[in-house]
Order: sequence, then C-alpha cells, then structure tokens
Amino acid sequence: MAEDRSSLPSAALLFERYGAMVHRRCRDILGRDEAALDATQDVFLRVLEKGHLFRGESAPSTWLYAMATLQSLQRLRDHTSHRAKLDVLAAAARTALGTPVEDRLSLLDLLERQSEEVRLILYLRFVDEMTMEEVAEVVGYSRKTVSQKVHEFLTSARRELEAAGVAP
Amino acid sequence: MKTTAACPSDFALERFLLGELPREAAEVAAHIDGCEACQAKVSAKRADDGDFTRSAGAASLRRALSEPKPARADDLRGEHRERAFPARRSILTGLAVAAAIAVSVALSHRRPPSATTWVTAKNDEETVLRVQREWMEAIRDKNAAALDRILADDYTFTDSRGRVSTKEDSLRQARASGARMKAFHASETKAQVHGDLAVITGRVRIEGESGGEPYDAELRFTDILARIDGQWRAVAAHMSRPSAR
Repeated sequence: MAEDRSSLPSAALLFERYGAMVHRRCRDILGRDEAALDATQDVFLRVLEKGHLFRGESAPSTWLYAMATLQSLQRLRDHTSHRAKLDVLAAAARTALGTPVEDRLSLLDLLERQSEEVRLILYLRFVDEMTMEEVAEVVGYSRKTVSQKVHEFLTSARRELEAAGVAP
Repeated sequence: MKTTAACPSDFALERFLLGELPREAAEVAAHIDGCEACQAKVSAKRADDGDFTRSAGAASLRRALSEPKPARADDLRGEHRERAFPARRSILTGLAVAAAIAVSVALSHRRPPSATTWVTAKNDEETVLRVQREWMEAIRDKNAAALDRILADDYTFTDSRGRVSTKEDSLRQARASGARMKAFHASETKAQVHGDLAVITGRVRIEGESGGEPYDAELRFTDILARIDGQWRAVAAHMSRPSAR
C-alpha cells in the first residue's frame, strides 16, 4: 500500500475528516480559539515527529486525539495560563488522592516535576476521566503499565504530601 | 440493551461520532439515548463540526495543508511565529506515509467523507439499517429497480446451502415469476459501521412460496455494505440456517 503514493489520503483529507475533532480537543485544553488553531496546525504538521505516539495499529482518531492532547499540554508550558491549567490537573488529582484543599501548591510542584508523559497520562485519567483501557490506547502502553504509572504517582504524591504535613 | 452507568469519556464520544469506536459503539449509542448530558455534548460537537468546517481558521489551515509548494506556515496565517518549521515537504510526505498505515485500519480504500458530507456514526448506523430494510422489501416486492440501486455491481450472495450468486442473478430472480417471498420478520438486527464499511447481522424469518409450495424458514444473515460515492450499497450477504431447528 505504501508503494502506491497516489492512493494515499493527503494531510488535507485527514484534516477534512479529523480537523474539527482535533481543534475541539485543543480548544478544550487551551481555552482560546486562536491558540487552538495554532495547535491544530502543529498536530497535522507534526504527527511524524512524535513517532512514539504514532502507532500503525491505532485508528487515526486515536493518535490524532493523543497528539492534540500532547500538543496542547505542551503549549500550556509557554503560556501564562500554564499554572492555571495545571490547577485543573491538580484539582482532579486531589480528588483521586482524597487530600485536603491546602495542598494545592505542593501538588502543583509535584505535577511540575513529572515527565511530560506522566502528566499526559494523569490528565487523561483524572481530568478526562478516561478508563485505564482508553488511556492505554491513547498513549500506546499496556493497561498494566498505565495503571502502574498512575499508582506510582499517587503513591509518591501521598508520601510527599504526608511529609509536608498536608495529607491525612 | 445494557446501558453503561458511567458517561463515556470525551475521547469515546469523539470516536463514536467518527465511527471509529471499534467495540463499544452499541453501548455508547444506548447510553447516549438515555443520557441528556451526553446528548447535549453530542449535539454541541455536531454543531461545532459544522462551525469549524466553515470557519475562516479552518479555511486557512486547509490552504496550508493542501498547497503543493506553500510559503512558510506563519506567512500563510499572516502571523509571526518564533518556532522554525522543519521543511514542509518532508513533513507532508511523512504524514502521507503515516496516514497510509493508519488508514488501512480506519478508512477503507475509498475516500473519507468530505467536510460537507460529514456524517456521524449514529446517522450511519441508521442509514445502513434503512438501506438494509429497503433491500429486504425490494426482494419481497420483487422490485428490480430498487435492487439495482441497492446492490453494488460486484455484489455476492452466499445462500444457506453455500451456493454463490451475483447481482445479475438477484435481479433475474426479482424479474421472474414463480418463487415469491411473502413476508419477512427481522430480529436481533445489529449494525456496525467502520469508516466506509458496515456489517449488519441478525435473524430473519421468511415466509413465501416456491413452486406452489409454501415455505417458512428461520435464517441468520450477515450483510456487508460499503459507502460507494456517498451511497451505502450492498457488497455481500451470507445466510445460514441454524441447524438445531
């Protein structure tokens, strides 16, 4: 199939089918239409650069949704609202941890120190409330690995927050 | 049908609307039917599909992605951007290769629907079920014109005895007098849409007359439809007679 270039759908065709979904996802995370448009363009231009997220066995909707999420979360780092959006993640993680509200800053710091990948997993799991299976599908790990990473984060979060005296 | 208690994730809803939710599409459809919050989300997404597709922003991205020798991406939107883009050409070639691999899974060899014919998974399921019903009615009513429209040119039918026939055979049967199906009762009908391909399975009880003898048969069927130039048409069907009866 790869031999016959003429029968391949172009980026333009992928955009026609998935553009609105990608843009919507970027806008949901970034909150601004204009920033979402930039992110959408990057998603369609940069699919290959994130080879680790691109897997032949997934449907385009899966990897484009993953790319849209990753691009948007990365963009938050360059943006003044980064902290505010991490707040969303912190709030969701807090629910999972069952810790009191005063720990906001500690939890934010902890999230800040996580790898991009772990933040993506946590975002999908706690903010998007995806099932472990869905998270696994999006990030391309086994369900077990995803569960493990979530568990590791929650454990280290509890430990650090307890040490800081803010968790029960 | 079982309704899932928890609302599907945004990811599941998006894939449902795209017709790319492989396993749980029926469950999600049932959930949406009974959940106002999800219905609202789905309507908002559908409206947004249209809004985005027609937006100026989408138009500029469309130009950026389709121009064979474009200017830099930042020029296209008239914005200054700090980041340097890698050469456009190589990215697009790469994207095409990536798409080729993925596309074999989700899209058939036919063109994906264009923005203007953007259809949702739920609508697709309703449409293929309607086409299948019209097809059964066409057989019952010996409506050769309708059959001609519904059956794809390369349609293949395998009957319960394993005999294979073509579209021409079906049309000839419809035009001929003699054997006639009087009534059909379909049940357990289930449609799965995967991009431009749909599979419908179910049971059907047919009553009719063949050579003056009445018959009454309970059959299981698998119908396969494909979206050809925007129309759902039958490409294959297979019937079998449950042997336990």
